Amino acid sequence: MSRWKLYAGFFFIMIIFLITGNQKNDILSIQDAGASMCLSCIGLE
Amino acid sequence: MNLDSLRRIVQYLTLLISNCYLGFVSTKQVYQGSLKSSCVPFLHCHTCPSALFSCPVGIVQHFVTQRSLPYTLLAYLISVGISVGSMACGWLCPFGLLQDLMYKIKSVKLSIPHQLSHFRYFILFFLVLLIPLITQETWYCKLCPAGTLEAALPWVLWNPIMPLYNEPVAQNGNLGVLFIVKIGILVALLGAMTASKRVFCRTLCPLGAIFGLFNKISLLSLSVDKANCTSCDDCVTKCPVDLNVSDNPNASTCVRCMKCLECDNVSLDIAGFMKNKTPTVSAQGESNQAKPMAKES
Ligand code: SF4
Ligand code: SF4
Repeated sequence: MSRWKLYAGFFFIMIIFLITGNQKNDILSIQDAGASMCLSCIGLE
Repeated sequence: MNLDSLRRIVQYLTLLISNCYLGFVSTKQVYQGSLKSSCVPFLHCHTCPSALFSCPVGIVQHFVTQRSLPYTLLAYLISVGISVGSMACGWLCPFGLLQDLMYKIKSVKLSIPHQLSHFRYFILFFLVLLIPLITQETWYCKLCPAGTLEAALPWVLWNPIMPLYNEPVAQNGNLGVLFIVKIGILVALLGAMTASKRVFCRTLCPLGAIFGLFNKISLLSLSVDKANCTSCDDCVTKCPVDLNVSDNPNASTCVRCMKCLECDNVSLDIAGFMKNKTPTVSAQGESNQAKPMAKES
């Protein structure tokens, strides 16, 4: 398989991911997780 | 300016830019603005008081614990991997920079068996994916040495009263075995960093494991002119991950630092457009038709 077919495959998967996912939800969820004081990161119980 | 000095400047700039939030001094909280909705393409703890962006490994676990797929993040990681492989590890990652600096400390130097790099996939599969999926807890974060250095130590040592809860970060009862284990891992790793080049990247980093998978197929790749390679091993000595570039220029542990480009026989290839006309490793397999060639050291 040529390299270009491989790239095309990957970009296809990527587009599918972008279409399948609810990007607004994803982004809000990332912001939510990133903006919290994660107890695991700090090592608190 | 040579490429390596430029890389060092880029590493320091990345460290600075990803830690621009100084509001934590008054809010006693991590940054909560819109930039936290984007992930950096390297390991940088989002619970670090000054962090502006989110950590991709932490976010992957967050989605896994909620038993959902982070489609947008996966698309982002695939695009970075397909474009530049693990170049972010060599050029951007602050934890990579720390390892580069720690190795400069005079100490016993040890090489790491290449087989140990497979352990990264074990960490990725078990600590980032499977165990968080089953237990719904972010287990990699609990043990992550970058998190210990960037989040645990600053918050626990400072221990401010958080206005939101009107309580200090660390208090009786919430500092226990986990914290001690975290510190233990970090201390052991800092010691190992002085002895071996990029020890964390090569044996433990789950993000490096993901990006490394793309090195062989990424648009940006390296090739070696085997016909002119004299097997002087100069590139092996310079490589921050002890790779034999001439045998395997696109190994999964390569951090794409580009140091080996100092040899005229190693070249950068972008999507196959810049390929040498002379035979390369990929064209010639392991064969080595050495022709002596004057080369700078
Ligand atoms: S492999 Fe090393 S340099 Fe790359 S993201 Fe991981 S810690 Fe950073
Ligand atoms: S093989 Fe070259 S680009 Fe890769 S880490 Fe070694 S010196 Fe850097």
